[in-house]
Amino acid sequence: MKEKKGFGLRDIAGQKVIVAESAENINFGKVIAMNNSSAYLWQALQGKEFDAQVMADLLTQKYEVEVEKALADSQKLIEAWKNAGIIE
Amino acid sequence: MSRKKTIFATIYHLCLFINILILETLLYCVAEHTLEISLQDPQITEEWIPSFSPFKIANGVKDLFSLTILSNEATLTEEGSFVTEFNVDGMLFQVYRLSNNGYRYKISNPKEPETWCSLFTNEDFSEGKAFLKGANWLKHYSLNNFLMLMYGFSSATKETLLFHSSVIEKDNKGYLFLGKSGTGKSTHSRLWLENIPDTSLLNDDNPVIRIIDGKAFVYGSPWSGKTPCYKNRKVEIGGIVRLKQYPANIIERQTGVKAYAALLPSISNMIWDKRVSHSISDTISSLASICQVFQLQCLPNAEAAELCFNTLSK
Repeated sequence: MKEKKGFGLRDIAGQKVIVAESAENINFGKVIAMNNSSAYLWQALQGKEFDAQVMADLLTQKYEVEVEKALADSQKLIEAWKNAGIIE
Repeated sequence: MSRKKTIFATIYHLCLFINILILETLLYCVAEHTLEISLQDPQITEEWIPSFSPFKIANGVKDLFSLTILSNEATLTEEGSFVTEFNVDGMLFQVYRLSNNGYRYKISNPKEPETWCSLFTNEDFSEGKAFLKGANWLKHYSLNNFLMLMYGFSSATKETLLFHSSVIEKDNKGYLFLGKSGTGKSTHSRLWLENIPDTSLLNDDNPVIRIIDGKAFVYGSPWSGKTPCYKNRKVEIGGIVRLKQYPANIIERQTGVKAYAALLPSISNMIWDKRVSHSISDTISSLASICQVFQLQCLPNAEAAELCFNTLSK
C-alpha cells in the first residue's frame, strides 16, 4: 500500500485531518479526521510502501501495545483508509 | 531642456492624455473591500455590470484588486502550464499556471471550444487582465465570473470568504443556508420569508463573509445567482445551516471538524495553491468556532423553516 499523492495533514479546529491538496483530488470533497496515533502513522508512512506489519511495527515502537493488537488495529486502519480513498 | 527631452516629454504627456480618454476606471466597495475595474474595451461599459451599481463609490483606495478589461489580447500570449479544468453551469473553466506564479483562466462553451474569454492574474490576484470575446452572453458570463474569481482569491488572505449560500436577514442578524446545488437553499429562504415575520432576503447565491475582531459578518454582494438581490448591507451572522433533503425535518448542531466540513464545500477554492487554500481553510476554521453551525435535514415546508428559526434564535 502507499499513500495517494496530493493529500495533506492539517490542524483544523484542534483536530488533525487529511484534506485534498492537489488538482487531481479536486473532487475529493471530504475531510478525514485522524486521532493522534493515525496522524502519527500517516506522517511516518509518507512516500513509503507499507502493509499492516509495517504499521504495527511503527505502533509498537511508539506505544505500549501488544503486537497482536497492533496488527489487528493496523489491518482495520488500512481498510478505513482504503474506503476513504486516501491510499492505493 | 534639450530638444530630445522635450520630444519625450511631449510623447509621454500625449500617452497620458490618450490613456485618460480611453480608460474608464470604476471603483466599488464590496464588503468593505475596495476594488477597481478599468474598461479599455469600448464595447464593455458600466452597463455590463449593473449588479455592481449599489456598490459604486466615487473615491477610495483599492485594497483588494484591479481588473482591466483589455481592448485586444496582444499582451496575453503566455500559455502557462495546465493545472486543471472543471465544468460550471455547462461552461468549461480551464486553469493554467503562469511564469509569474499567477494564473490564466479560460472560460469557453464546450460546444464552441475555439472561442474563449481569458483572465491573466498575478500571484495574489491583486492585478488581473481580461480579454472578452465571442457571443455577448459568453462575455457577460465570463466578466461576472472573472470578477468573482478575483474577489474570492484576492480576499482569501484577508479573513474574507465568498460564500455560496442564500441569506435571510431578521432582527439585524443574517442566517445562511448552504447545500449542494438543487438542495433547496432558495426554497428554504422563501419558506422563511413566507412563514417568519420581519424577514428579508439579503442575498440568494454568493454573499461575502468576513471575520472582524472575532465577530463574523455577512454582506450582500453583486452576485446573487438568478435572484436579482444586490444589497449593500452588513449584518452579524446569527447562524449557518447546511441543508439536506430528507423525508422529515431534523436539525442537529455541528461542532469542531464536523462544522468545518459542513462549511468547506460552499467556498470556491484552489486546493493546489497552498497560499490561498490554507488561508481559506483557516478562515473557515475560525468561522466554525465563532458561529453556530447546524445540519438541517428537511422537507420543503413551513415546519422546516419554523424548526430552523426556533432552534437558531434560542
